[in-house]
Amino acid sequence: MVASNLNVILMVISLVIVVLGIIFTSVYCLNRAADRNAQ
Amino acid sequence: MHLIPESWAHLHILVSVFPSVGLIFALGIYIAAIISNSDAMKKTSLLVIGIMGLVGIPTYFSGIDSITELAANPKFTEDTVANHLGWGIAALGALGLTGLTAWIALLRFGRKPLSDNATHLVLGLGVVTLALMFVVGELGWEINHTEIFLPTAKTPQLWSHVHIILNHFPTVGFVFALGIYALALLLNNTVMKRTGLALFVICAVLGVPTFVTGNASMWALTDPPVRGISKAVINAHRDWALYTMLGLGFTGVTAWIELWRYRQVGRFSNPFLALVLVFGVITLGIMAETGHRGGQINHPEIRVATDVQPTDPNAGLSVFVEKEINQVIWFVPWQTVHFFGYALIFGTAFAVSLRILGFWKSVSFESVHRILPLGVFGVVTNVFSGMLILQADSSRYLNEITFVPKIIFITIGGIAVIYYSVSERLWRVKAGEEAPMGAKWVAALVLLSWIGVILGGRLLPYV
Repeated sequence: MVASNLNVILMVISLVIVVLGIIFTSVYCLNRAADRNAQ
Repeated sequence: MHLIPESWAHLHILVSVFPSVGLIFALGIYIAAIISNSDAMKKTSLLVIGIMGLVGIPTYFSGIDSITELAANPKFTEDTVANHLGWGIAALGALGLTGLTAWIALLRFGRKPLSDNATHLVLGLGVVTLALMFVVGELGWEINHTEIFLPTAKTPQLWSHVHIILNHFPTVGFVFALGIYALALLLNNTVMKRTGLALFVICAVLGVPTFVTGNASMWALTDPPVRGISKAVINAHRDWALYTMLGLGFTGVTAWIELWRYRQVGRFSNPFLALVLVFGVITLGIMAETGHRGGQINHPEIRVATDVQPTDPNAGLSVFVEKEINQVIWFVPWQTVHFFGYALIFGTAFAVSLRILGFWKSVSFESVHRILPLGVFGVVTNVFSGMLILQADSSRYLNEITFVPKIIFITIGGIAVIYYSVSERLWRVKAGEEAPMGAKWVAALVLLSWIGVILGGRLLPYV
């Protein structure tokens, strides 16, 4: 039980990191393009 | 699988959706062109309406030949066919007239701007044709789709009815989007490029209710089973529907990024425009196969010897997803991601909409427009995670009373957001300035829709 709980927690953390990582990297890249254009 | 029709009946069910659903898209673009007073877009719509008029010809002849072809088939009664044919002739007559008027307007005005009278004449005729098409479409379902009139056992048959109508919107719409977009790239016309991109996004959003009603139809037709309908054949269609959702997701997001970029940066990125085209072509291919497999579910008359139908109801990707997502180790992580997604969506919708409604007027619209990608990526996250979570217990979710409003609000909220990246007046709202009244209505609609989505979702387990 303890092992399976740990697995679920690790799964949650890694999936959230991956998804938010993709989102924030994409938003960062898009906004950097906007900044570069503004200069 | 044979995608190229080998019988008149097959050709008829394929081409007949274009004059009806296609006309809705053509008139939609036409109305947008009239509102934004873009002559190029008006003429593009006239060209599309003119082409729809010509598509009426194969629709008529394939229909007539289908009657001869299927006369001996006891499944189709003479009365239903005669009703469909009678109204069909009236609708195609109106369509022909609309198409002819569109061609005449195009030829007469050439490079000159279109007169108001000509513009309104085509619009009026188009609306009358559409009303007739609606009647013909409904009478058409009566010929073959007897399942939609079955009494409700557990899941309402209304969803089978809604699904066979709705699925033509993202598909036929996508053909239009791709056509307009490819033409726009050839002509290097910015207005048409943006129209094509916006259409891709609309089709992607419409994919959501289509997928969901498809799931509901599956339950309506298999639990309890309906004679002549195979779960294995449905599952094959459902697997391709999953691929279509992925295709729509990629095309819709890249298209939206370009709409956003054009607004924020003032120009497109050519590699990204090419990427949208590549995604669009691939998605159309996937969609064609999905639609064909969908047609196979309840059209035994179009099957040919090479169409080998699946027989194992436990095979395929959808069944695998259904099984896996029910494991805690997959369900809980994806649900957590779903919550992060809606925090992103609501946070973004909240901030942008409140600025438009008059809060934080010291900030220009240009500045809040920058955070929109966060919300859109949130939508993508949630469509994907939501699709997986839905598979865990779709029969139960789909029959909850708050699920339908939730999906309707997602569709409205998703489409309304396009306005933020296409409106010229909103873009010009500087720091300290009031947003136009029309934009405030859209902002209120966006905010209320996403509030509705969260309420509908949160109530799912309890009512």
